[in-house]
Amino acid sequence: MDFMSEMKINFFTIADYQEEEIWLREQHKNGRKLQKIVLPCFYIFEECEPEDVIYRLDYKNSKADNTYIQMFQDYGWEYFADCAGWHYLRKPASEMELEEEKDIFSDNTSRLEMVQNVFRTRMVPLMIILLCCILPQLYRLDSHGMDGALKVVFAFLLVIYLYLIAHCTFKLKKIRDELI
Amino acid sequence: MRCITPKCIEAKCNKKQMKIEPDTGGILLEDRIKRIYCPMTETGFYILFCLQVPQHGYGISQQVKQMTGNRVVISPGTMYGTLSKMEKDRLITFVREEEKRKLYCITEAGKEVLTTEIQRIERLYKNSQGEWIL
Repeated sequence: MDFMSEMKINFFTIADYQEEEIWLREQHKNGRKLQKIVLPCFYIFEECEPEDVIYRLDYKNSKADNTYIQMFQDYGWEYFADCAGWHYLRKPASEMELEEEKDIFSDNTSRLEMVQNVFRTRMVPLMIILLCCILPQLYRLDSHGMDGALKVVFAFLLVIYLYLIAHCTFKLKKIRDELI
Repeated sequence: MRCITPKCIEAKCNKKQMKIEPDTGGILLEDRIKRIYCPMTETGFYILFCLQVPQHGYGISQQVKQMTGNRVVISPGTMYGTLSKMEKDRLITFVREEEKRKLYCITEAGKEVLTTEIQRIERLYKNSQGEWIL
């Protein structure tokens, strides 16, 4: 990391991508341009001229290929990072002639598809892990008599896990309902 | 409908065609395809319409913007997704790659869907003008 770089910590769940887009745009307005993301919550910025740049996240659950990158480039969107299936794109607001060009999707069908894709490939596995691994394991440990301190740690992790699942499910459902 | 597809490309487009109905000689579209594409979204219609001539995604969106006086904008995420879906459903086919851009062209099944859609729009238009179809 050179001296021009700056790291910020912020946590966005898979259902908070719209908030992340707004936050990244604010950062760029304040002269911080996103360079890359390191899981789970580290954002590496580089100093830049303050500019109104619109950020968008596309979820593909696969690596971006050349034709994908080229297509966005043709439209003036810079593809600059990806992180766990999410592709990060940006375009200066000044280059957008029409209001519709501010988004990477132009109809609700494709917006909806992305949300459903996130749900199918991310939320469903998380729920399966909870139901088939974590809960039975906890039950087994409990019946064998578990150390008090360990119990507290497990209970704490379980609460976080349940909270994240509930938060993401409700948020994704809310986004979906707005699109239907 | 104007179609200026060169013969050689047309042959390539027709390669992956749908099952041919022996009695009628026409194409039997799968029920699933009919359910998804009839009626079509505006995006779907314009993409299929433009692909009567081989083109890449950005080219299509530029043509649609010009055709409609900036009223219909197809953004890259929507374009990429629709092209991939239509290719999977064999309404369009990959022709060649030019400088990292994939060129697509309509297939026989795609033409069938497009014709059905144009007839539907014509009917809507006639009816909206108070004209009845007998």
